[in-house]
Amino acid sequence: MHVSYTNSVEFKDLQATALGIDCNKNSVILAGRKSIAVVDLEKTEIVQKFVRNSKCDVSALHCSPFESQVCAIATVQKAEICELNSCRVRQTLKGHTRTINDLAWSPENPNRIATCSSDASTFLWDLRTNKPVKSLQAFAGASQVQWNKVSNDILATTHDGDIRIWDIRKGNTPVHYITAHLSKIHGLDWSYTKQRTELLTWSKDQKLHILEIDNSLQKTCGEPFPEVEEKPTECFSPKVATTLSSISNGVNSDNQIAGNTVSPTTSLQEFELANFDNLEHVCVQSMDQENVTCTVVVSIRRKLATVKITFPDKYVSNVTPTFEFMEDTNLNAASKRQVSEILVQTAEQRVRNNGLCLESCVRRLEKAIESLPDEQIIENGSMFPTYFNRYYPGVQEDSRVPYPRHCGARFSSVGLLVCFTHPSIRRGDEKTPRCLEQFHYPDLASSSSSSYFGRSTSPDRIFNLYQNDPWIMSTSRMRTKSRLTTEGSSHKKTIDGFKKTQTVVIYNMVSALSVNRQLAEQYILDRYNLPRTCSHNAQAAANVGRRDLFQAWSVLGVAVDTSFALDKGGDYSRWSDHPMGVSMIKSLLEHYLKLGDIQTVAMISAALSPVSPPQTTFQDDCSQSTVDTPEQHLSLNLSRVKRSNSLEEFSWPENEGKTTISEKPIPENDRVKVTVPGVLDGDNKLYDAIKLTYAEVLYRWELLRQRAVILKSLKNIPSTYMFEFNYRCPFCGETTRSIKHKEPKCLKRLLTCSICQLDVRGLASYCIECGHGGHSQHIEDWFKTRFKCPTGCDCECLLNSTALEKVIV
Amino acid sequence: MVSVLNTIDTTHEDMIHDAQMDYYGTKLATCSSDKNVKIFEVRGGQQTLVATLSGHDGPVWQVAWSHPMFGSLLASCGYDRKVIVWKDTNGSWSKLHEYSSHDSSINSVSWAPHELGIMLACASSDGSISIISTTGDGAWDSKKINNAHTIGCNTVSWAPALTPNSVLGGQNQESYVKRIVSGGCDNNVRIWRQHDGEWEEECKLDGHSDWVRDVAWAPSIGIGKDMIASCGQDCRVLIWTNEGDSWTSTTLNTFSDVVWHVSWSMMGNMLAVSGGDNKVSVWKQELNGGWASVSDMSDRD
Repeated sequence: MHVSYTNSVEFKDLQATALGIDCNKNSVILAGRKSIAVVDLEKTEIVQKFVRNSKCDVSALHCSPFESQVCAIATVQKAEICELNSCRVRQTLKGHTRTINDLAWSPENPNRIATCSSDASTFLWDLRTNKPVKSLQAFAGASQVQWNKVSNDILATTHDGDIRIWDIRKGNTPVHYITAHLSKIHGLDWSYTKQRTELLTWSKDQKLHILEIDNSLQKTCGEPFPEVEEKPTECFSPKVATTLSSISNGVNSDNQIAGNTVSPTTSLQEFELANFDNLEHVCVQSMDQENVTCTVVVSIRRKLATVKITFPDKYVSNVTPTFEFMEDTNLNAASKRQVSEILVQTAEQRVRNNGLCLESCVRRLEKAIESLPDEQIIENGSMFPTYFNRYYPGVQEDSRVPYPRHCGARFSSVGLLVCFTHPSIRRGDEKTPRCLEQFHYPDLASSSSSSYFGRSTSPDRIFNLYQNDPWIMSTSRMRTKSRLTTEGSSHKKTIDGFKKTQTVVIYNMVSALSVNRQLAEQYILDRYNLPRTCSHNAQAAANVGRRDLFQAWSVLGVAVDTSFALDKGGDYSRWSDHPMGVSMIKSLLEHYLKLGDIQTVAMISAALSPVSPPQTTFQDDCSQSTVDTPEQHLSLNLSRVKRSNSLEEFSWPENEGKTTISEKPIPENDRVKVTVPGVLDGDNKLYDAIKLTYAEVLYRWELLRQRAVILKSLKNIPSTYMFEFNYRCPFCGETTRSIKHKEPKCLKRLLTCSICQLDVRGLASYCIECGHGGHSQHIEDWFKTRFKCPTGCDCECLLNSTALEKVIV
Repeated sequence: MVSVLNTIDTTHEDMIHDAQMDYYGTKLATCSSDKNVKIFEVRGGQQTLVATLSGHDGPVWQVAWSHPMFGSLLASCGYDRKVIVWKDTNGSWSKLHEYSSHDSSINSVSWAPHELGIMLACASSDGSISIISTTGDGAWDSKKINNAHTIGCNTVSWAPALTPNSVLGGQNQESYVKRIVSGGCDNNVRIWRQHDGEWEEECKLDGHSDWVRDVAWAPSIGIGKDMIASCGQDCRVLIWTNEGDSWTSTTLNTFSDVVWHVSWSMMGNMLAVSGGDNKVSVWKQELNGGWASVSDMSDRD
């Protein structure tokens, strides 16, 4: 080949590190750390220059196949879409955690770009949203990405010496793995032709491979959901169609390529290039490169075959490997013979063609076993299970699944600790492995015979067993059939020993917590009579042996007692109002907060919280009501904030009347000013949160009354604990929260007494079911003798609702 | 200080992977490699097997009880790439929902705080986290955080709905902060927050040197402090605390073997730790902020 320079120009100041050809094919784009330039190929001069002045190099560049002077560049962890004619970065794609190595614009979809990075992921971006729509995960960093030129849905990525082919319609796992090279692949591209799909790779090992992808992939280009498993023996095996061992003498000689297929010469290569993906029923048990043997297990339904494949010492082109059935194979003699004939034939054929022998033999083996009739099994009483349902193929997956836990401890409810351990598993000094692939029952494996696991050769790698679940099935089968051989009975022992350990122990840790159930039951909270509350609670604390709490409550009792007041009738009617008393209470609370004793903190702060008149919640702008009487009955649209099973949660309105200390109306002048200004006001949120936590504890203990009392002392009652009334305006039909519709045209009272037909002001009673009601006095009188609604709506108010709701309007 | 309440023979035919009690401490759910979930009624030292739930096709890794305000709901996840939500209607258990949009084993399932409604998160070995929710009308909605952890995601836990600084601030659901913490095979702990309906990473906690096996957000008791415990293959338990803007970590202890579970007590002052060496220990925070082992349950019977 003769090469001559038609032109040569130097652009020193560009410091470009990446090149791409513009979609109009008459210019190239050069990108570097400092700038991106468009070089016209005709004029060989820079026609457009976009100064970036970035610190980061451009690792890859790909021009848009649709728009001229638009390119995507990769710099470190992000990709940028640059518009060169307007000198701006149109979009920035951020998401990778390590350097982006390559990017590729989809040849058909202008909004899709694939980027691959050292973080082992390949992202497909939707440029309309600037977000990755798909992430393709691998284990090794991805260095190259290329879209298939025929199908818009297939792309290839390289990971060191491996190639993964992805079909983006088929989830996040590659449709194929190809081990193409033994060292890093530098370059990758797809062929353009539709007839044959080929991949071209160039690697650090100085080999150029043309990988021919056979029919099944080509089918995927046309059909949305290809049946890859349809022909397992021919399934998409990457045939090394051509391997050029040295580029120097091979590149431009067509003859050589066509005529000379170089076969793998060592068994090592045979092993490395063997690809057992998509083999649903095959497990490779061992690959021994020193002795050049490979053992595979094929299990289909109840048929089981373990075949050891031994390659000759010096594996050369014309010698076939030998096949040997291992002991646990449960096929009869005739079928064994039949299978081995097929295997030998396949091997001979492959070897004659200088092809890879191992992989095709294994694939053929699977097919042969599958086609055998099910009856051809000898029931040899083997431990082997009837259950071979392997959920999912893919041994590589178990290396991602964490090692199963056989020991655990969970705190549940209040202070219960649920523990389960598996003491029969002792690992000694060995650290527990991390993934399911390394899973085994270590202790059982050594104590029982190793044939317990069927495959005597690999007691330590039974991930495949785990998937097949023979162990589990064998235990149940053993028991149900009770057809125990002498061998079986020893197993049964082990199983029983194993079974015994399946216990869960529940510990009561409540005493180690900072809440005491006995105290919770005995404490009272009467905010209108604090001295009595304090003395009662002090006694309760003494009863359970909490001397510190006894003292705390006693001190508190003195502090809130008006008879110990410093200046009677003055500002400080109680010690707790005095600045000194305030700081004492504050430090008391802080002390218990530090100890984490939320019970004490919640009780004390609840006791000292200001008493608010219970009606305030429902106060509305009733003061400005007009006297106009709407003809309609009151229509109350009750809506509960939370519905259904949540009823118990909001039990306090019902419980209100039954609480230990009911809020008896106290004559105004007797009412103590129960506020501790300065102590709790600033920290209301904190104390409310602690009260809520304590209320939750009480709820779990099903101490609902105590909980209700605590919740009533909340400063900010969360809306979810309340009923919300919605009213429908009888004039315009609109729903409103207010008792009176604010619209000027229907500025009328919405509540009418069902009895006297007058507006209700003050105390009103309603049925929750039908929403009718009126003046409390009228309604009470009515229901003394009747149980149906006074409006005649046929609602049995007294039967339907336990108590009529009372509100102040 | 510690007393045994019950010892329950679960009659599972293979190893147990998780056991949890419900809100009131009266029902126990266990799950096992024998593909079953079992429910026991535990009252007064007695226990009865209430139900055996079979629906999984592989080992079941974890179970979780919902808050009782949604009725008795139990979620289970397993190797068969499924999350199943079971419902108890007057003692008979049935499948309420099955979620199977993951490509690999689902290792962890966790219910959101009840303030957020019926919502649960699950972590899968395909590296992603799903957040599944329903409004109770039978339709389930799911959101996915793709590629949350490279290689695989092992665990997920919800933050308390009330953040320490905005206790009771919320009048409706929207003002609650939805946050989860997750751990995975990339040795990181990550915190995610829902923002405008989308889940985005809030921060990454880098401290473990091997796979993270469990994370647990401590319940908030309103002391203005967020705490997360994490544990993993590196045999360590880390306590992450955040009292303002940034997370700092302290090592609780380095154990002799891999640590699998961390579990907070209801008030967030005790932590139960268990691992591959079959040992369970309970840790309590001391006044000076350090942690001390208060109890070792490993060899009790």
